[in-house]
Amino acid sequence: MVVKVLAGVLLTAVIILGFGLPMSAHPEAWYELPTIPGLEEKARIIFFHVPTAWLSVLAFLTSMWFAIQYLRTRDRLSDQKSSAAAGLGFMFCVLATLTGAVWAKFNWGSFWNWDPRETSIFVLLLIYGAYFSLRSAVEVEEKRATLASVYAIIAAVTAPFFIFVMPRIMTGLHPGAKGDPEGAGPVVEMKMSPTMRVIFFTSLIGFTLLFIWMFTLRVRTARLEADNQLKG
Amino acid sequence: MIIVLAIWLGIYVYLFRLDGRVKKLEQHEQR
Repeated sequence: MVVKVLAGVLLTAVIILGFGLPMSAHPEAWYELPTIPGLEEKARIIFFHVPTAWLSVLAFLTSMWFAIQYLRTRDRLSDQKSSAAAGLGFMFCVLATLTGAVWAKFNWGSFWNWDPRETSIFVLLLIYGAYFSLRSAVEVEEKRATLASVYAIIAAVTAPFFIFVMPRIMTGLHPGAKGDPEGAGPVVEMKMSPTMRVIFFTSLIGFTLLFIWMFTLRVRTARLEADNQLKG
Repeated sequence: MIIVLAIWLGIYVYLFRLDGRVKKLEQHEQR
């Protein structure tokens, strides 16, 4: 109950504050957000775009963890959890891609530019799209679970690389790309104002709680479906 | 902001109601 309520409260607060607080070129009050030259009002999307990308990595690593548990114990529930986490990771990945595309249209003139970070998230979507193709292609449950678990482990190893490493070792449009004079980007370099940082990390916590809630819902639903199938 | 808030609250209410339905089904299974 706490997780559900807290997720609702935090994310509602993030939307209200993230969109509602005024921006100023020289913020004086705590509630004024700094105007970042070139981004202005569009900078607000950072409160949603970056946390969804980080959450996708968390979800894929969770999927890997339960995949390892399945291979160790052959417990069907672990496979269900692994699949549930991968599904949510895919959802957050899509959200990160969509919010990123909207931001790219405003800032760089088109929804897609094959920037290294855009390309890497696209590859991640393909990798996990293939995970679900694999699951749907194998009819025997145990074989499906085993193959999917092995795939989830290998796929999850690539996720942090594609989200955190590859975009920083290649030149590109995103902040934090190789050769960027501003450094590793506003989040890593902590270049956001204190108020922005509070809203940003509140968003990260809120999305994490939302993931936990949706994950448990998916697992409970899968368990009910499995029990129903057993009963005939 | 209003549009984003409306979408988010719609999703939140949907999840809450789904959670309630799943809980009812689980209680029914236990009986």
